[in-house]
Amino acid sequence: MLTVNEETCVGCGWCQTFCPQDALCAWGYLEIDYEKCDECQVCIKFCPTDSLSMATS
Amino acid sequence: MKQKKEKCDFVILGSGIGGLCSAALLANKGYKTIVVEKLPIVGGRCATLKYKGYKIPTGLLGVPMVGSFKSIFDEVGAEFEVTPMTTPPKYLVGNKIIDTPKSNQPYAVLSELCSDEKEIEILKHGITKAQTWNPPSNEMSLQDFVCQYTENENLVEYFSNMSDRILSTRADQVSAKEYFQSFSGSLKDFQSVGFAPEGSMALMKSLKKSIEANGGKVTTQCRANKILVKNGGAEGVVVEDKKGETIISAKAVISNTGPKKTVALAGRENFDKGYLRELKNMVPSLQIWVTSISDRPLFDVPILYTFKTRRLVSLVSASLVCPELAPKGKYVHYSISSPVSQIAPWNLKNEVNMHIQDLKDQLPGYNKYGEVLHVGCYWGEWPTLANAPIVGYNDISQKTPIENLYNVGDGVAKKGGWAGGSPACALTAKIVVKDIENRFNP
Repeated sequence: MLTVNEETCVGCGWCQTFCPQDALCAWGYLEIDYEKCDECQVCIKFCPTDSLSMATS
Repeated sequence: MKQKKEKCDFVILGSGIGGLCSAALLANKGYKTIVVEKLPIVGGRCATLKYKGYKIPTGLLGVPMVGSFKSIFDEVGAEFEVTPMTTPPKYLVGNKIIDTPKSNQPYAVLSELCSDEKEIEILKHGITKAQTWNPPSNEMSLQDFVCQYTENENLVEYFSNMSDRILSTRADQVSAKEYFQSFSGSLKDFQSVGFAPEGSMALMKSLKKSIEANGGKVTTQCRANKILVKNGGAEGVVVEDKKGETIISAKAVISNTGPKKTVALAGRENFDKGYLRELKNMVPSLQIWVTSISDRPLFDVPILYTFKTRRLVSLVSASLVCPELAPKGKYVHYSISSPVSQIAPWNLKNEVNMHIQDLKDQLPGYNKYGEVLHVGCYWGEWPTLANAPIVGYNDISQKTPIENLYNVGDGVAKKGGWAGGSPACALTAKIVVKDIENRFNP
């Protein structure tokens, strides 16, 4: 499951623009729409602050 | 896994303006230069995001067509495709649109904000004295400086608005000294401004092309894991891509990752305590960039500065100059705001909402025709200015306490000229490259 580290995410919204599923929305804070997210992990590569990762459990 | 080994003259970490400008200059001088960038795209805060057919800037929007940034493209012969903005920015004061200051009449606008000419003259005299005789102390805020000469609400607000726009910090927090120096710089560097039709990242790609044409290398999705330090000097880096780790040996390491990240990569134990204390005092600033779209223009000048709003400071309708930034028949508008205080924490959701409410209030057609496409907040580890020039700030040198380890970018911008933005970042690259030339090729 895609998770965001709220301590380091600044809400720049870069991930939103690269998400093929339109599952991310930055409005000050990042919101993930888990109905749409297919865990392709493209967003992780483009996060400037390394705030996105796949939860291990 | 076995580490690969590579050798070059200079290795650059990060492909922001400071990094790519340094690399382009060095490669052009014949040095073997390698740039590593952890993200899949180059540019950093000078990149361009593409979303639903629109182009979104990540930092650099209005491109100065003269000054330190442009001079690097000229020096290395890199393509600089920028469409000049022929209509100057305007102020939106209440319902009235007024012109922005010209370089030969920088304070003419004040007469539009205050009817008491005598009060304006006193203020202008104080400013002239600060600029030509004795600059204010770095401990004095711009607001305190202005309030020595006037209590006129509009005049105080004007300076707050200006410093917010130039230095992303309001008048009560910004250093008066830095403000006046940056204001002079802004009049000089931004006397001719344009927009890159394909977004500012095209300019970064152009520098990349120049580096590669001169035998250099720019590798994306390659992360710096460590700066190698031996006997108090930098001697290379360890980087990692999907194929594994590589040790790159170099005569010097130039970091465009920000001074704090540079310390983390090289190891805190290698830095003097005094230097670490200076870095601890750095205040990264916050700006919020909202991209709005519409199927008709929402205002008819490319850049509109707002006045007496909750948060909003400027509106940029770049597609009026470069229609390529939006799909055919559509318009894209970028708006910028800062918080009241640059000292965290903030309620970012509230900050964004106030920004959008300002858009609705300032632009009568926004409610009906405008739509928010994207919201970007830049602060903390991915800041607007890494070292905001708030009262009492420290200048951080491009040279670190580790020999042959330099920083470039706005975190080490040469204060007393420019605190941030493309001219400042380009200038740090020029300073570092000049030092390198003196040291390694005297």
